[in-house]
Amino acid sequence: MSDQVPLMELKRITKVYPGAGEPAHVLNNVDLRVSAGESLAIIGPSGCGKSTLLNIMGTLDGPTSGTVNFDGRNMLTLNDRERADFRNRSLGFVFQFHHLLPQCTALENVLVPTLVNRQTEHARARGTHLLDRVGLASRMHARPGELSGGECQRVAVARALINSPRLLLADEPTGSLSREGALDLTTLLLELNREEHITLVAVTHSLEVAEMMGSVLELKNGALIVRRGNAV
Amino acid sequence: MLGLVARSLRHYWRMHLALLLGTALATAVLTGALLVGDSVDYSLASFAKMRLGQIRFAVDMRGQFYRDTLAERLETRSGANAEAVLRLPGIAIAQSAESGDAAQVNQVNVLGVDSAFWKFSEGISLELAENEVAINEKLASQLGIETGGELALRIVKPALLARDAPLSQSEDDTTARARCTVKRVVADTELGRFSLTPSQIPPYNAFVSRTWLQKLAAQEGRSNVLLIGDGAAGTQLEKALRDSWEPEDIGLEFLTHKSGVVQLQTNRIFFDPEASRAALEIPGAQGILTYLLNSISCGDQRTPYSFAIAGPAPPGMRDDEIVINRWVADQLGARSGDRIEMAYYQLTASNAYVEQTRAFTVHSVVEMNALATEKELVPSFPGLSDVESCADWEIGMPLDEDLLKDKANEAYWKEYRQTPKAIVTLKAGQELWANRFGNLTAVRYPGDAARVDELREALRNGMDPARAGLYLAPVQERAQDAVSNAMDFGGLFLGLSFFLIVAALLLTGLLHVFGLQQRAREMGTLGALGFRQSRIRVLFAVETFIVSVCGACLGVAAGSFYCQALIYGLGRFWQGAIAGAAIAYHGGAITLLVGGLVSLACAMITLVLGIWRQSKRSARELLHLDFTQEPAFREAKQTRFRLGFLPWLGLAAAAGLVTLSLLQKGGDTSLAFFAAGALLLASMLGLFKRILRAITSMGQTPLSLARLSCENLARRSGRSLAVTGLLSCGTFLLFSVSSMHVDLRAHARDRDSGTGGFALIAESTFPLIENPATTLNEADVSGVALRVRDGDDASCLNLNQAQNPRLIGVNPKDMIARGAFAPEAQGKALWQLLERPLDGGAVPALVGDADTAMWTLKKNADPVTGDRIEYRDEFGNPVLVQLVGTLPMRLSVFQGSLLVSSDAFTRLYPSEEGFRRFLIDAPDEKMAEVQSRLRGNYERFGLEALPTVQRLEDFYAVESTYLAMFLVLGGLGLAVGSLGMGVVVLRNLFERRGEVALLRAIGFERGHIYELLFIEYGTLLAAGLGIGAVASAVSILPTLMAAGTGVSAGSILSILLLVLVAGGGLTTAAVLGGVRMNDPGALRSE
Repeated sequence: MSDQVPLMELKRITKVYPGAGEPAHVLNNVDLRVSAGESLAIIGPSGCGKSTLLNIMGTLDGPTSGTVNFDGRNMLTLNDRERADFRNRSLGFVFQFHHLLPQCTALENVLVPTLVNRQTEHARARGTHLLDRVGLASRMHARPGELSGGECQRVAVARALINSPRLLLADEPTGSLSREGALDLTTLLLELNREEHITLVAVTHSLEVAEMMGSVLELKNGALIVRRGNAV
Repeated sequence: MLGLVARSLRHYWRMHLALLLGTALATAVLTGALLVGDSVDYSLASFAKMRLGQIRFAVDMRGQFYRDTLAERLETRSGANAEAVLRLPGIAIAQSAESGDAAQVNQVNVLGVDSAFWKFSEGISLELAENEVAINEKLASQLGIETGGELALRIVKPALLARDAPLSQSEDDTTARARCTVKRVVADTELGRFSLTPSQIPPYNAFVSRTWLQKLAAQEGRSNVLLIGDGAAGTQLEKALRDSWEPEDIGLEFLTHKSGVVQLQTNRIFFDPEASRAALEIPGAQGILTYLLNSISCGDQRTPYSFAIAGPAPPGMRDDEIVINRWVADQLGARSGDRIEMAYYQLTASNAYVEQTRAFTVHSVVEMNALATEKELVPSFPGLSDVESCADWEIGMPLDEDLLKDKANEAYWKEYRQTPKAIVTLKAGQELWANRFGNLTAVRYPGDAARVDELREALRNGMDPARAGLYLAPVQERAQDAVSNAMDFGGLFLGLSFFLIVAALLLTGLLHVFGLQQRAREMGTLGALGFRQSRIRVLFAVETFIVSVCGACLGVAAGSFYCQALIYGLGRFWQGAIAGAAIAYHGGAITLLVGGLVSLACAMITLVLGIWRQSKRSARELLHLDFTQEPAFREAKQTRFRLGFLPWLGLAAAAGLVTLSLLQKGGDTSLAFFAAGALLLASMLGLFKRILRAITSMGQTPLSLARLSCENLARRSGRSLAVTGLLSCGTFLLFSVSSMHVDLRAHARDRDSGTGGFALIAESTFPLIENPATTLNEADVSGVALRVRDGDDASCLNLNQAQNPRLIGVNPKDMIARGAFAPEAQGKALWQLLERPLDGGAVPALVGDADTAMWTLKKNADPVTGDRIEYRDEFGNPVLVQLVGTLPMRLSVFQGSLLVSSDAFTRLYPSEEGFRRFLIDAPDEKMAEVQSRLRGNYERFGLEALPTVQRLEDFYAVESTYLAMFLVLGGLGLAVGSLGMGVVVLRNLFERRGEVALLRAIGFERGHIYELLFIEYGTLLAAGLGIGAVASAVSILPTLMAAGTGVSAGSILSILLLVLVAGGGLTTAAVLGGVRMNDPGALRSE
């Protein structure tokens, strides 16, 4: 466990999904501290609640109980608008599917998050830089339909970084890619983690990908177990 | 395979339920519309049955009469039930039991019947004594009286010869009045609606004892309607009538004179053409024409008011020679070879008597005793022959009171009575005195009483009774024809509901396509598993067919309720459309089947097209289809290449049409403008499609929410276009139709409007010989008197097809002088068409207005190629009336009538005496006063005067109701279209749930997403509304350009509001719901 003030801290997070039968306890009193600049993988079998945990971290979902602090601030006290602003400025998301807007070019897709606070020339330059950084300088004006799956996922990564977030949340970012593609993307994410000083939290079921991260946690029976590193 | 279908039906039940409901909606609307048609037809047939009961044929002599005994003879010969009826126009007055006010009802049919009349009905027997009356439900309701109540009936006392005929009797009071007790209120099903005219509007009927009515009308033993029931076919009846009729039945009689002359004469003074022809064809016939001269003069000597006779002139006398009697020769001092001049009146078509003169050379002088035969054989003229003094003459010619008192003439009258003072040849006499009533007053044959039978038989054999007024009309057959060719309400409602049906089908198609897209991978999997394309299509088609059949069945049942709702609407809110007739629901099995099958076919075509389109793709494509993208970009690109010019062509055509229409002077350009509007609509939709496609190449513009929204529109341009198209078509139709409301008052006083610029229109129950406007003695009040021959009402108030529309006799010169009913430049030529001789002796007629020609008569009216309608003249002779033109406005006070010249009118119907319709000019400020004075002065004649614009509004109520109905049904269609838009929005959001969730994930607030989506769908809504509004603005240009248009800002705002509320509301609901349903989980599940 790090002595620094954690960038994100989850305390006694519980998530219960009511169902037709017994309610499903997906997360049981989960505690997690993520320090700035670290890279962390959360692994676990399908349906164990990895994505739920990531969504709670990303304020896309709320816990049944517990607190979520980011940089010492309780995220659960934020209203909808503040949470959206928080996600826009401080978080970046990468999903298993790229969710690029098919009607926009690669660069435009990267710039979409900047629309929230209006696009600037600076953003455009940064978008170009990021696309260059992810190796798509020559494909900047291509539309998603003209890109491969790996390329699309790289665009999604660039999009996640456009507003210089402090925390990058990746939900199965390599899930739809080949092994080589997955390793390339993970390498890219880790390089960006270092270069841009962005904290990286990735949910994956690929042990190979997880092993490349600084810390590895396993979500099992609703609780987090440290497999490697010093998180939790 | 069926197992797979069953499982799919179960698994995708939501999708199938939506399809089923969509199909059911389309079926219900279509079947309901057809059922309305069925119900109207059924109701009209019921009305026809009620109107005629078991009456199959009728002889309707109107202004002429026959002896009652003819009915008995015909019944004996034919075996068919034959009944004589005396029908007279009347007025009924009663004190309302409820209010106590006196109520007067004009235009009442007073029907003299005996108890046998009721055999034509079922379950009623009624014997009416003197002063007893049975009235129908409509009259009872209007008068507010019941059985046992009292009413006064006023009838016109018919003259044997029209009162405007020369030598007819002039009476001060031509009406008779009697008080009656209501013995029974006759139900509609008991022949209460009896009428020989096909109409769904019941007449006002008052049934009284025939003998009593005959006595009241001074027509003992005479009737004018002969009704025949079942029992004999038409040809048998005609033969029976031919065998049983006698010349005396129609007023012909033989007189014998001791001088060895048998004279045939008629109680109508002048012989009708058929009698005249047949009588003159009998060997030895000598035609006689007797006439009253104004004067005979020789030099400065003159004798007034003298009878002259044409025919029995000395052999060898020339046509310019005259025989005078001794008394005249003495009075004038005239001798053989002297020139004398006779003055006489000539009757014009407009009933004016114009004095004419003609000079003759005295051929010889005949002694008074040689004229004894003539004195005794001169026909008896009522009002003249039976008075003692010339001063007491009462005849239908203007007479100078001072001249009537001429002492010498008075002495002549006392001694010689009607003994002719002069004799000319028949040819000369007919040239001078022939008039529309005839050119013979008697026919003489040599012989005595022994020859009468032979002559009667020769006459009977020589005459065709049908041409003498005894024309047997197959009224039952005509009623059926009128019903089967009646206004097609099924078609009308189908037209009115068309947009609703199309909207329902489009919605169904959209739902189906979405469902198919949802199942694209299933299709692909089946293909990958080795299913042939055709088999996959069949599989899906069978599934769709089962759902559609269920939908159609449900729709048929719902259609029945929808029809009943429409009928309720027709009875409650849209009475104008059916002129107040009570329509009963009637659902024919065939109609239900047709409605169901047609809807099923339409639904299947729509749905199978979707299946066919999607299943064209390979299994690989189907497995990886991304429906967030336009699926057929490449094909669309090729189509655009080939057909890209079409929108521009459409725009050019629309501009051309508008320009041509603007350049065209006069005429109705509304259809051309509507077509231009429709072209513009299609072109703008084409351009909108191109704009949507062009948006995909907008990459150079800065990224913004607005651009993102636009690009989203372009992603599914087909769907965007479908929604915009539906909304724009709905808006276009609703705007265009709502603007068709016409403000009739705006131009009501213009001469070229449908009122002819006249202030009032008046109608009398009894004919007037004079023009009531002139009797008011107001310098600024004048009028035009019109003759009326009742016929079928061809206005839009009659749902039955009019076969022989009402004829109105008009003097073209009157209309030309006033410049009425047509623009100045065209008016003269138009009215002169009525005086144009036509091939085959056809009578030229103008149709009362353009709507009558186009919608109710459905005939071509053209000076050269105009359609011809067969009429029967007064005597039953077939006459062709050719439609040579139409009054150049859509709606006029003459709607439902044909206009013929008064000359032609009186030639065809000489017995239609006087005038019954009047157009009156009066200043606005005097209108109410004139109306009131006319009503007061002519109350006894049942004269009703009302503003001409009110009459137009009465007619317009039908069209106005159709428009209202269209707006309601079109509005429903628009609502369904808006529902379609809501469905599209929801579907799009469902497909884009990952995109929306991502936007939320990367920090977009809900507000941003709403903004994005509202820009997107608001653009579609605005485009739909804008395109529809612009196109409709073109289509309503003629209305907008006309001063005082009926385009109501209120109705336009209402429609805008409707579209905004329906389209905007449903879109908003879909957007709000769609965004809420997008959760973060969507980011993981593709």
